[in-house]
Amino acid sequence: MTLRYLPEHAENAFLALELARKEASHLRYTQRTLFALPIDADWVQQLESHPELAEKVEAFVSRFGRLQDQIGERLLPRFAALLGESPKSMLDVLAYAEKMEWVDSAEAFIGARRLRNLLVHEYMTDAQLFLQALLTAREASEMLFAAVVNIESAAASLDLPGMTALGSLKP
Amino acid sequence: MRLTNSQVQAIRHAAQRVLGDGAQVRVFGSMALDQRKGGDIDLFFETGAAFANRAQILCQLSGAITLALGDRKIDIILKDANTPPAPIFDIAKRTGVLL
Repeated sequence: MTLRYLPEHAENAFLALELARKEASHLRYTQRTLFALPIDADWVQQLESHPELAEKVEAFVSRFGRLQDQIGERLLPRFAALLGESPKSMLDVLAYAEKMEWVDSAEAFIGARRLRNLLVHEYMTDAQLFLQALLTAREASEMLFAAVVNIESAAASLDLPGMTALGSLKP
Repeated sequence: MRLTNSQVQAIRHAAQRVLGDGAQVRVFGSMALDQRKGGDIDLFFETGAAFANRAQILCQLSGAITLALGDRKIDIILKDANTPPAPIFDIAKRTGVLL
């Protein structure tokens, strides 16, 4: 049987996927528990006097940022390499990922990086904007989960070794 | 002002696509100064329209402009009808160059 990928890249691709899955599951947990709370502008205003809630927001933002980096800087480039592509820049990687339908929109993926500096609550001067950024990050998390699931399917269809040991990430 | 014509066109196009007609864009900070070199691209978008989710609009602008200008440091601020006043908007308006 002929391999449809470059085997020398298989281990790195697999490791990136394994880590992305872990990070996605941690983000999913924080996303679920954070947004079970009654979040509105008043709630956001009170973050300063509720350190335990501020910490929860920070966990969400930091897990969101880590998964975003893991997908953009490791998962997508390593799967591109696996298929014999070597995109030079992050934008080339995202354009390839969009073509492969691993991400819906390169523009939305890159734009969502802006959320991280909108979500530093110590710098918050506009509670409405912070609230909107939080709600937008909740939606953007779904975009990240979808990218991991899409790569998971790509890995399964390539018969990447080790894939059978992993269950599905889908909630 | 050290943006090229094609960069200015790309920024205006993104503004029009995301914010609709009637939005103004200014470049401010070091990129607004001819004698400097390098630096971030600081952009100030201003519109009389009101958006339900400004964070989402900021992401859309940022994504569109990054794809058009390449992955360099781009900082975007947005003032719509719902945005409370802040000194940064006054500075950007006073020192910025209208594109």
